[in-house]
Amino acid sequence: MPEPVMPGYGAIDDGGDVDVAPDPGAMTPTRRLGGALGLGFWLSVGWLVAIATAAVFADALPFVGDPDSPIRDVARKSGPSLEYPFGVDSNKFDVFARSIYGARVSLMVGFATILVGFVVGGGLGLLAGYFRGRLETGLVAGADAMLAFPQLVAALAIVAFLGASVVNLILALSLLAVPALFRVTRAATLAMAERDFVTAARMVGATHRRILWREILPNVVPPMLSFGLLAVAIVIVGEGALAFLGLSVSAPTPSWGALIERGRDSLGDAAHISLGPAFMMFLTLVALNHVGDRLSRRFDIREAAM
Amino acid sequence: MLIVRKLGPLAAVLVLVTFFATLLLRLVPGDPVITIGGFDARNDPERAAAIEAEIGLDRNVFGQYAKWVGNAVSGDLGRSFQDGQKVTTKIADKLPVSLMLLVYAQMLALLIAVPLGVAMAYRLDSWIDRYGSLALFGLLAMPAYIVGILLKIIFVEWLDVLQPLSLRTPSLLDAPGAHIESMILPAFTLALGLVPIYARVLRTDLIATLKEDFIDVARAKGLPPRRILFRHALRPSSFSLLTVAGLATGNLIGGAVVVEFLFAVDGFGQLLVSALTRDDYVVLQAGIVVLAVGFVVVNFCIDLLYAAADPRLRRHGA
Repeated sequence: MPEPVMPGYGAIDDGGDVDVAPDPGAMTPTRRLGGALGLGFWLSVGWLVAIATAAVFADALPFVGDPDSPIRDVARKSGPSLEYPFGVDSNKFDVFARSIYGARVSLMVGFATILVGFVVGGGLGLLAGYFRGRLETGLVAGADAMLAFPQLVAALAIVAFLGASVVNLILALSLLAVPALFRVTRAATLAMAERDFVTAARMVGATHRRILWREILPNVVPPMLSFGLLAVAIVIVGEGALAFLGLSVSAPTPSWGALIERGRDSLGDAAHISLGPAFMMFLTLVALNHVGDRLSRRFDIREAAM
Repeated sequence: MLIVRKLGPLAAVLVLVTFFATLLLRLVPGDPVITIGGFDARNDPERAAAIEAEIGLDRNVFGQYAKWVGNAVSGDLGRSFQDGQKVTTKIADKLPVSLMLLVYAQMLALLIAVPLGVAMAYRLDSWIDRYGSLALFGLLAMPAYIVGILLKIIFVEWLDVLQPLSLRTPSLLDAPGAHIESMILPAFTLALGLVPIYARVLRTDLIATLKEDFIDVARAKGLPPRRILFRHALRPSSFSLLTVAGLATGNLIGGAVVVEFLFAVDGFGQLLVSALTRDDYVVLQAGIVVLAVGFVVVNFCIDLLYAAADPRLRRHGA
């Protein structure tokens, strides 16, 4: 039977079972284990490293200007030039510098949220998948309830009522990340717990803690990581939507979503104000999706929706 | 019965969602009475007590929730503290435009995604498959606010063919031309967010279906490819599409808020955003309840549709 893509319904295919009929897709070269990851993969990794480095060390980099002081010798809203690659906005701020500083908030919220997802969702998923029983039933029901909730609306509600701060944003967007990572980790743990090497470890009298830490965790981290990268992209999009609606942090520098929104009034005469940060965000999302995609194919994870 | 079995979880989620939403009013930073009723609300003890009673702050959490449910069942979601208007009136006024936007977006998305997915699966690894996959992958990395900005630049600023800005979105019956003109860009923006999800899922499923024996039989009978694709292969390949369409409704609702804000569509999302900017918490809370309940109910219906499309699920359930 062909494997239907069923987002949200168990995401992991245990590649270790021999008696399972081979997935038709598994025959294509890109899915062959150990196959080359390709040029696009390394370009994407390169971009992610570059943008993260630029965002972290923006203060020290010579080619990143000051995002919060107007440039004197340039006309308002003037277009891209060699010196200011994304032009300047209506306050004569350097759009390129602001896009780099904007990456700080976007990337920080994205990765911190997924970190929360890893620790909370991943930890509970590991316990649920290993110990099973009532604990698992309860946790799965909880995750299902959270997934039945329109998460972006919930995030909007939390930020709107609690106020926009980095901590509240991460908290609100964790609603997206925790149940999704819980599912992925639990499914991977379920598959691993059945494998012979875990039985062997149990036979020689290893404690639960040792089996979880030393036998199972190292094997479920790769699928979690590759899914986590796709999830970072989703969280960055979500943060951008909140920022676009004016619900994200604005100090010191707004994130990409808010920067795109700032240019909304000038689309006719100065589209570069929106297009600059939009371009940077687009490249980052493409890179995250591509790296996550490649890695999940390699670790044989089917698409799982958040 | 599937419906009965699914009603339990549905009720549980609905209770959770509405309970969470009533709690929101207690989460307002500072003194809720001042935030909701205005800075001088505490000066007049009677008014403060009235506000507390109206939003149920004079009771405990469960009493507040019970009161809210009682009111909601009788069609009362409270009054805006900003202009005194009934929230239900406001919502009833704005909701139709947004619902139409969602329907247009879904229709456009299917109109684009189904032929594209079919063509890509039928001509596997051809130019249309390769460039199509690339384009879909790119679209997947474009949130609604980027797609919307691009469409606005192209169609409104460069080509100058559409003028979607109007204070009140014209209704379909009164002014069909103006209605379509003001809805097409927002609907297209939302649709382009769905197309990559739909087309990719359909392509995957269709590739698998086209390898089945009954397709070979149809080919051997000499049926034309178009008939085989759309009559024989499409239906068994559309289950995942249906599921994904349900799950995507959540994204779509969130996206619609953003898109209405961007294109100044006079709908529900706009109501929510203006409540946000005016700290109109009662409207905000009611809006969130409507969105959340809508989402849960849509997914419930998709579950039932799924069972209708796949008879195996009727007894065993998913």
